[in-house]
Amino acid sequence: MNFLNLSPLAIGIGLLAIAGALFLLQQLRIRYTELPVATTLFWAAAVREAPVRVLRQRFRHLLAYLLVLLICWLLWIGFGGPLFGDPRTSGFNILVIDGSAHSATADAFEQSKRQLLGDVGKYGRDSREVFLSGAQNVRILAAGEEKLVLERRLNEFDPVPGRSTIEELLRILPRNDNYPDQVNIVIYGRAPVSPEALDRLPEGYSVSRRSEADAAYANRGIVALGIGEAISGDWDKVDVLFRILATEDLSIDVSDLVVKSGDRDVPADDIETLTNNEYRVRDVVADGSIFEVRIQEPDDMEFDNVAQVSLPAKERIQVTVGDGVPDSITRALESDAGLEIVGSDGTVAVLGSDDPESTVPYLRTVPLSAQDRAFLIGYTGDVDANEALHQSVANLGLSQIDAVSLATDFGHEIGVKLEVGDIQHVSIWEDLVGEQFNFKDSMSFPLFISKAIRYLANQDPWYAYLAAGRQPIEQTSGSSLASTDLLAEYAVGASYVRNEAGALELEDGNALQVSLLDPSAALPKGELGLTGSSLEITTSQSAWGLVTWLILLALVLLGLEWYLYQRGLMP
Amino acid sequence: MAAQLTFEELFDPEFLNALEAFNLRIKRFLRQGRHGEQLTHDRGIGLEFKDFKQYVPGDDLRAVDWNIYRRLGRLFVHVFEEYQDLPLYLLVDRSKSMFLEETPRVHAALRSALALSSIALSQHDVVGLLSFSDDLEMHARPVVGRRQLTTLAHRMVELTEQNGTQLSSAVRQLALRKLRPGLLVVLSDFFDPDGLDPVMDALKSCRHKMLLVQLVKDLDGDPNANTELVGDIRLVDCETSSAVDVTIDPAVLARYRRIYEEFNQQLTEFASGQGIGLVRVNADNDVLDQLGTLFESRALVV
Repeated sequence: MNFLNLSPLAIGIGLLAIAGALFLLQQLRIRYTELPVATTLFWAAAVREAPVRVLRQRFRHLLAYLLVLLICWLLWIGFGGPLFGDPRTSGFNILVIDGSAHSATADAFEQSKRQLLGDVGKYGRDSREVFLSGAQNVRILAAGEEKLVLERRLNEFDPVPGRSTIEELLRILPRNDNYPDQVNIVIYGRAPVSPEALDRLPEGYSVSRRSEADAAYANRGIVALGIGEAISGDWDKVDVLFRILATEDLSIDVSDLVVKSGDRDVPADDIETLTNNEYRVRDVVADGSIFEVRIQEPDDMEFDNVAQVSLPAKERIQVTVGDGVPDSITRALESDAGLEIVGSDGTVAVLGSDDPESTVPYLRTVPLSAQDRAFLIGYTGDVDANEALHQSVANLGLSQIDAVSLATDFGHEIGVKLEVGDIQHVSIWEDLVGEQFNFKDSMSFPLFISKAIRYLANQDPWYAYLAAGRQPIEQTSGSSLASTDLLAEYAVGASYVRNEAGALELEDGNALQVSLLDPSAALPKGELGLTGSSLEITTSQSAWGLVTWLILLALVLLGLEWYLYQRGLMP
Repeated sequence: MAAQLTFEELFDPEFLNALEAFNLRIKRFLRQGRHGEQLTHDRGIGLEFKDFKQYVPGDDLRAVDWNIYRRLGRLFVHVFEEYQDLPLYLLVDRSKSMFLEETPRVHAALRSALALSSIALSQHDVVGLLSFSDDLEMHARPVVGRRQLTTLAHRMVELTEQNGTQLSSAVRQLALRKLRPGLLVVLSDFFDPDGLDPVMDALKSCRHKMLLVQLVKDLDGDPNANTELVGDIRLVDCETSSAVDVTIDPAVLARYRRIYEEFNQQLTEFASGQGIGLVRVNADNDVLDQLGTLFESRALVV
């Protein structure tokens, strides 16, 4: 409500200035308005009994002056909001309310809000800030802002189904040069703070927790959900793995789970229990539908009881194989469960050097003299050449090829060339895949063939592996074939790490519908890192209650002055 | 300055017709009058027999009742009631204060004067018109006859604004004029800058019967009604140009009201003590209505 927060010195100077100004005003000349009247006979007599004010007169109305002075001083002090103590030296206060999943149980967040709203007015307006630590850390009340806006802003937030980011806030705050040396951080809510995070804080920073909420809560939560190649080897199926954590007082029973693949319910018998609270459903048809895991029994935290992920849509690619195709390629094609060799209507053609031209994208072997590079990639569209080359090398798995040893063995430099054409195609020297060289026996060869066919068919299914607090990752069939590590992973979310469960759509259009919770949020920690404490405000405070009374008293005195004036008891 | 009354505005036939029923009478008449309608206390020549009295030398021998002398051997004369005319002198204040404000007091003063003139002329009295400001001026010598009312009305509308209110001086000047004793009607606001005392002294020395018509306005007694009268005001006397600085507050207003009331009270007590008639005509209200109240019993007796 006050306009300023001034130091006592400024308040004192203001008081003296008001006293002086009022004193001068009492002596200032009156600017009269002239009014003609029939006679001044009676007015002159009336005025003789009470002379008017003149330019300078003896200071006679001391009580009136004191009354006006008191009113002005009260208003000045009230609206000046004096601060006793310099906030820059006595400390700055950062109040952090936890809006993560840790405070999402029961009415924990509401309790924290009430406590925060009750406390914030006790700090000097310029010596405190309020942050909400949810999916991100948001400053919801800056220094100098009125506390009245805080409640409205707080009401716009609900706890997010994500882990706490409060430790990130503790890491960032000391980097802000605007804060003084002494900073008191008060946490409202149950977000855990690790000893390491506290140790990282510079000297002068102190952290306390102002929460009466019980740190314990009962919860079962799905913390990870991922898709992998089907161990059975079926191309059009995947295995789905998920992980469920529970607090000590709750158990996990497979019969409590509702698992759906699209519209089809997955029987409990089909759910394998693995170690480390992990479960697997094998041979789920990869038809692009939504796979959902749901915990039926309610607990204190609802939003980690369901998790969903989009299954890949895996269809066999129909390939037409020409008569002149080398046997090594034919064998690689036949060993790929994702391919189906058909007569003449395939979506991709594999051709030998003598086979006729194709109207569909094709992989062709050509004589050494037909092209000056080992690999010739034809692409369509307006893609930049460098970009196309980069994509092609990655998509075709060429980066997996040991080009140096192959060139040494083959006696020719192994290179890649791109050209723009009407039909997408990949051409390779036929001698390179011939029987006399070992490229056909390398691990890179079937990968190259497989990825080349999928590149030409524009099909690149990916398997999502999702866990809150981690980057969404994919593992493609190609990568799993290319590496002994079946979990070869590539980030698909670039540098973006999603902290919050919920639907996520990637830039390439792939949708991840997922509702997962970080294990640290799903399970309460027995020790939150800071114990609850009563609030001891040692920083500067504006005596808000006193200020209110001062202003009210000033208004009462103003009414008294008006009454006295009306009664003619005041000049 | 307010607009001057025109002849048409002043000489309103409806206004004059409404006055026909009114009479103006005085309680005790003075000698030297002519025949008129004013019943005097004197006994003398007349038509109505009143009484007998013993003859004394000088009595009119034509009034001796010889029948009584024959029976009683003593001389008695007839005494008759005597009716005389009443000289009415209208003394109109034409100082600046009478011409101030939206509805100036002089409008009501002239209407009142015309009304009294009409009544007096209709009962065969003579009416003279005088005015005063710094000096006394005669505008119409005493005239008689109802037809003279028009002449008087013309003279009245010719009265223009002058300077101050020197009523005491005007009354003294009037006394010096050899006018037949009659009824002097003073139409003024009585705002003499020297105060009421010299006015009262002058009026006491006047040998005429007197009727004081005090022209007042609502704002005189209730300055609160003047919306301009707030804060710090310099009040300028329209006649003397003297200024009074006033800080308007409830106390000052209260004092003003008290002083104004005392002024009116002083004038009332003076009139009552001297047997002088006093009426207050509010210039903000209709004059005819107020005259109707004054002439409640058809006759105003001074």
